[in-house]
Amino acid sequence: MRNLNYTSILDGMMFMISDGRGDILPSAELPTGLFAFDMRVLSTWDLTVNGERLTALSVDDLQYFESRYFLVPGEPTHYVDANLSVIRQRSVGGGLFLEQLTVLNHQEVPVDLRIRLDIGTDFADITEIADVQKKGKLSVAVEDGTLHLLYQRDNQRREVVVCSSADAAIDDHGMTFEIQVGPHDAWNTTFQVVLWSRGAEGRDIREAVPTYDTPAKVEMGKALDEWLADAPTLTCDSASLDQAYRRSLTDLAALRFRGNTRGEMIFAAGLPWLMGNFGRDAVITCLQALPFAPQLTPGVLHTLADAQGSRLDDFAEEEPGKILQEFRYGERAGYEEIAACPYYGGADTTPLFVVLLDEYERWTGDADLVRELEFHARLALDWIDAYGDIMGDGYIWYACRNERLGVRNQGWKDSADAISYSDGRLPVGPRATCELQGYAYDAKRRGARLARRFWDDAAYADRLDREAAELKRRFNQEFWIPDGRYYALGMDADGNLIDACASNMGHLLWSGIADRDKARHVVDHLMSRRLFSGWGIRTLAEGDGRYSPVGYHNGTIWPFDNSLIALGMRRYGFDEEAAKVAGAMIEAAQFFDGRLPGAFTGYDRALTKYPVQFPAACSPHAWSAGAVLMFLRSMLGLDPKGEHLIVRPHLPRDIGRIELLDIPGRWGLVDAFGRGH
Amino acid sequence: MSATTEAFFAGLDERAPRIPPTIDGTVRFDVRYRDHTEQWLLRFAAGGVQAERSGADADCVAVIDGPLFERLLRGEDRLSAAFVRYAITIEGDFTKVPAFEWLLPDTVGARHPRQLAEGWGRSR
Repeated sequence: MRNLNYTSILDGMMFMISDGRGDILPSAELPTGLFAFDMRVLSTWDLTVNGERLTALSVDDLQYFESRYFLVPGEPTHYVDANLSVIRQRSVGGGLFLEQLTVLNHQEVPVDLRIRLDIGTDFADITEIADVQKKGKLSVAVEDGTLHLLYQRDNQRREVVVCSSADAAIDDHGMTFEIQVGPHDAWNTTFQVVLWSRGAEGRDIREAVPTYDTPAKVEMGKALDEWLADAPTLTCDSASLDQAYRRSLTDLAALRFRGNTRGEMIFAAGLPWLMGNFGRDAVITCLQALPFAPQLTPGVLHTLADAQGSRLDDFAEEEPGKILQEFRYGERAGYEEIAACPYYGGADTTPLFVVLLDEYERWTGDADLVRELEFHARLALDWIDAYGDIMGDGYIWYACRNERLGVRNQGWKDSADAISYSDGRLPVGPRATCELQGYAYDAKRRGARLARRFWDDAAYADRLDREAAELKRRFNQEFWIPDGRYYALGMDADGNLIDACASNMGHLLWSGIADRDKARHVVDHLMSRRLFSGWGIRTLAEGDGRYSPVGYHNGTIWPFDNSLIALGMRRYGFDEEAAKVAGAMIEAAQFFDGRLPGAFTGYDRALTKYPVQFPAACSPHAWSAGAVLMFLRSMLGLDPKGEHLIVRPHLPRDIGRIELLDIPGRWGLVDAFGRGH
Repeated sequence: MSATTEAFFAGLDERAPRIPPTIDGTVRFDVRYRDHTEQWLLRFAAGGVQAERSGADADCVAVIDGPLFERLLRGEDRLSAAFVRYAITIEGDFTKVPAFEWLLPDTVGARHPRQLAEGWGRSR
């Protein structure tokens, strides 16, 4: 989280957000606490020395899973007593939270201290953090020198066990240490927090998961080093790009977790709100990362194929062949108080699944995976026509079938007011947004290539190619607004165009569905002052009815959105514009310490001089980390052609030299160089 | 012997659900009732499945209460949600768990998305 008052550590499904002293106290701004699989494991973790809170001198983010706080007793407004210092070093990993507490006495004389750690939890689900209402029973027990925080609902039993290596006086609300520290001496203890989840059989559910392991910190550090070493090496003049590249690779490593069914690594979409398997986010992040970390893709495709829809289900919005949008592991998901276990309410995930499979093969030459997933890819392609085409007119539409808990808008802009007419009205009934048609076109074209090359089915390939060509022809006729010279955001159920001017049309360049003669106008709109803020392309054009610079999908700037658009611009030969978007984003990254958030605000660059943060955005955010990788790809003009990697650099003017060494793929390892012009 | 379960497995051949041909192996359900346990063994191979009452070893064993199992078979509940709320215990090869989901019927009252198109000008 980029909020200087808070710090966070993360390992896959487990994370902790605390204040700058390392304490967990209630916060209205952020979901403070230690969380695992969407459940709050600690909501109080509050350290005092002789009844006083501590003041932070510094905080080190050692690794994404480890941080260290240097503290002294006393409130910052008081005189700071430098005779004592306190160090808290903590980590998450392998289902464990560890904190080593060290107290140093800098005096010539011994000192008597009362160290107190208040400990507690409300077992809140991350999705109910604003209004926690537990249906089960909470209790506390002190047993065998350990503190047990318990939650029971039906057969489900969660138990947080907290222990300390040094002897403590333990009560229901925490641990107390009455200690004496000698002159120039130190005292320390290590706290360990583990969450046990027990089911019907009274066993830890994770015992049943064969891939469960507890990597030590050292091993996690080693795994991170290997991950970074496996990625291409970047050398460049731009400090901002260098920082953003390293940060992005590390953030992707941090968000990885082991999927339940196969034990392959997949990743969470974003901290803290999107800690689960999100189909759209995962597929797009894999696409962004292909030139850098293609090994991410098979795990994601396998996991999504395993959970591919097989039947009709209104609650889950499932249909045969559909790829899931969301899978969460928390209590409310399991009890279906939210629709997330899994939830299929996304109309884009299914075609994007096919796009990723094909793109992965183009980079890696891994034909085995294409053959292995043939059944699933065909079923996904079938879905487009059998279930996506609600109106029977050849387009992909969506309409929410879970009126109570479902998502009304089922593309990436999924907030309730994200799809609007230019006068601000909201459509009712089924709708077909423009980018979905691009994805369907791309999926069919790529499906045809796979069918011809790997599935030995030329007739099917011909059919898909024909359908794609027909879709492109009709789309360019029916979605184009001749007066405004742009593609409508979508079409409503009566066949009227939803005529807002939005970033969605940029995806049409990425998918290749836009006619060449129309692309020029699309790019002009995207780079106009109404859409381009100077830092990036806004989700919605200034002047449209619903536009606001802080509108979540109605004016803010999403780095991932921009990364697909920049790549699309290069596809159509708008190299200068693509470089301008990429350059602005890389510049913006330095204001976020190299970590592009999910979204930032759409204020004009001339107004603010820096990109203004959007408060509710996730950070780190998988597809924003991936965006930096995709900007590198678009700047260097990387594209596989047969067994070779084409490099066609076109860099932003001021970025200087970029060298990317050891780009993995079917060609082995290849280097790419470019220089700002 | 549960009539729902019996009918479900007896009708498998006729319903011929689509099953990924890559799924290969066995799953056993130990279905618990108050006074007895019914064991069902499923063999997946080459896009097909065979079911029989058997307590033989399997790649994956799921222990589940009878009423919940019957709700799953009738399309009244969801397997993965039941797993996440700890209502099912699964041991062994987890890849076999989603295999079973290909056999389950539409949920009760589920609509085809095209039903939502009715009445709109665009629908054909």
